[in-house]
Formats: sequence, structure tokens, C-alpha cells
Amino acid sequence: MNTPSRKQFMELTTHFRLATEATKEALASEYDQVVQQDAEAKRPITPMLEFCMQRAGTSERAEAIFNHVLKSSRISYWPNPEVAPHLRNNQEIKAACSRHFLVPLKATEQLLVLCGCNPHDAEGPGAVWQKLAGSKAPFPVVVLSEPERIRKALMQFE
Amino acid sequence: MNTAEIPNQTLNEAYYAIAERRGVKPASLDRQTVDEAEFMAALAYVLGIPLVEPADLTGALLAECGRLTAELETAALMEYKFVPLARRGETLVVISSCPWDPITTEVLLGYFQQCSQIKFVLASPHCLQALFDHLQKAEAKNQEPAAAGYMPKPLLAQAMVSPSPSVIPASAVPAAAPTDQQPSSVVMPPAARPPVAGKIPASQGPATAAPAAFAAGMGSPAQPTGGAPMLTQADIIHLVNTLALEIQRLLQQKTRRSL
Repeated sequence: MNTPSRKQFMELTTHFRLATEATKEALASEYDQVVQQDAEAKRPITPMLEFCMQRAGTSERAEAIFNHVLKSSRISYWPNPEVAPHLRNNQEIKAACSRHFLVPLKATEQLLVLCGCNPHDAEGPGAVWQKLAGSKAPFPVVVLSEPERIRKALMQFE
Repeated sequence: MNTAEIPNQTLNEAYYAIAERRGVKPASLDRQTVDEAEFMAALAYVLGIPLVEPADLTGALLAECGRLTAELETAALMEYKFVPLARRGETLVVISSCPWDPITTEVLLGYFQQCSQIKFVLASPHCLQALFDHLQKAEAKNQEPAAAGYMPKPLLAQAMVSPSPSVIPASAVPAAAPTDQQPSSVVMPPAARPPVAGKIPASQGPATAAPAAFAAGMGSPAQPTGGAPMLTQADIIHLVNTLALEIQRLLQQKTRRSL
């Protein structure tokens, strides 16, 4: 588990009691396994938020987990993430976005808006930003959205 | 974007970010060379919020806005320069051209009482106007069938928290509190439509919501209570106006302090 995922894991397991002290490590290992399977299958890496929401028990509790993350973070929300049309056939960006579960909503000369679901994650946005940075790097902005919306948007990559 | 409306600190941070991106010293940045696109991008970055541009006004985004604005008057949204975009739990996400304005937040928290937190999406005034145009078209479309049967359009409510509070005229107060309607316990913001649009006559529309709510909170002053002195309508109007002016004064103080 990378650092951003661990931070979110600790926050959510504590707040929503997704695991006890005794089962915490087992749950973390389970997540690592999911990540490994995703990587091997070359599909978008399941984010920690989605993993926790799936283990919430009910859809209301899953929604509460997302709402908690949104409320406690400083970043804003985007309801309908879509990959910027001019990036949809960029394989390098696709790979970076799948690895970090991020959607590039807007990528202009001046501004890069990325949509993810882990406010603790600076590595992912940094990786995508570096790939898109030209002579003058665009101003980066990160927003939050639901994992299933991001997953759907990632399918727009060709 | 009229930079005079932006708080100095935010403005300076935006120009600082532009200078840093260009690799020049902030003091030597020629602000005349900064175009709107670069400025808006820097402003979004400094505020840490996404930026909506006219090209982003897709059907999906308009549909999202439509869900929350269906019960709000577009004219009132235009006055306060915001459009609610989404609500998730206690968080309301709003598109605004002035997210730093405390009055915007006050109005939103007053109306969306189930929300304790407002998050913003930035839009230039030009883009926001384009969004309003879309909403107005949708609003007009929705009102077409009603027009055929002639239903009076409810009046726009007067703001309790308004940049320029207007005194509520005595004619705006109904002769007697309607007995078949539960007066709202919440002072309605200007953007609010009555609960059942078109069914409330204009004279009893949201313009009267504030006095009615106030009266309800006072225990229906129209009813005598064991010989105690009654508040007349003029008293109520006076109290409401005093309260409105006091709110305005406090907000202005807060605004000045934040600057």
C-alpha cells in the first residue's frame, strides 16, 4: 500500500470502524492483493476509497464514507468527470491515470484539473502533471468525485 | 473578470503564482500581459477550486445544475452570482464568480439548511452569464404549459441578507396570516420559490415570507394573548427592517475585516 492509500485507509477504518485493531492488517493485505490483481490485469487500480465503500455493508454507509471524505477534505467536488477529449488517445496519460485512478478533466496550457478520490494523494496528480507539463507547467487543481464515476470516465480512454 | 472585486490577498497570490510560473519576479510582472485565461487559471489554482469555462457547459453539467435550481428563481441566482451544482451529504457545491464573497455563503447556508459546508467551482462572470442564459431558457420552457392556463408567477422574495437591503413595504404584508399554509420557520433567501409554485397568489408569495415567519416565531401576534399588548403589523415591519439592517451592518463589518 502506498502512502496516500495508507493515510486514507487509516482515516476511514478509524472513523467508520471498518476493521478492528486485530483485523486491520488483514484488511490492508486484502487491499494490496486487489491492487496487485488490478495491475496484473492492466486495469485501473482500485482506489482505497472504493475498497472501503465496498466494505461498508450498506449503500447508505458507503455514501456516508464518501460524504465524510468530501467534507473533511479541502478540495472541491466534480459531479460528472469526463476525460478531456484531446487526451483520450494519449496512451501515456491513460497509463498514468489508470495507475493513480485519476481523470484529467481539463488540460490547457494554463490549467490542469484532475479528478480523483483520494485527497491525500499528491503523487498521482504530480505524475500526470509532469507528463502534461510543457515549457510552462499548467496550474494544477485536484477535485473529488465518486469512485464509480471516475471508473466510468476512465473507460473513455481509447 | 473585474479584479476590483477580488480580495487583495487573493489577487496578489494569483499574480504571484503567474509570476512564478513565468519565472519572473512578482514585482516585475507586467499585469497588462496577463490575459483572462491565464488569470482565471491562476485564480482557480490559488483558491484550489476547479474552473468552469463556456466549453464546459455540457448537457450533463446543465442537468446537474437543473436538479438543484429547479426550485430557485434564475433572476435571484443572477443577483447573487451563483448556481448550485451538486449536493453530497452536508456539502453543497456551487458555481460562483465570486466565491470569496461571504454574503454568497451566508445566503446559501440560509437556504440549504441541510448543508453545513459550501464548496465552490469558479466561473468567470462571462461564463456564469452563459450558464444563466441556459437556465433562463430552461425556466421559460418549464413555464410554458403553466402560461396557457394562466397562473400568476410568484414574486421574488426580498433578501434578508442582501448587499442592498430594501425596506419591506407595508403593502407586502398580507392583511391576515394565511391560515391554510404553514408559515416557514426559515427566512427565505431571495432565490427561493414558494413551496408550490403558481399556487400562491403573488401578494402572498415569498415577498411576505420574512414577516410571516417572524410573526410565527412571535407566537402569532394577530391573536390576543390574555390581554397582553399586541404587536401591530407596523411593529412587525419595523422589527423585520431593523433586523435586516442589523444583519447587513454585521455582514459589512465582517467583509471589511476579511479584506
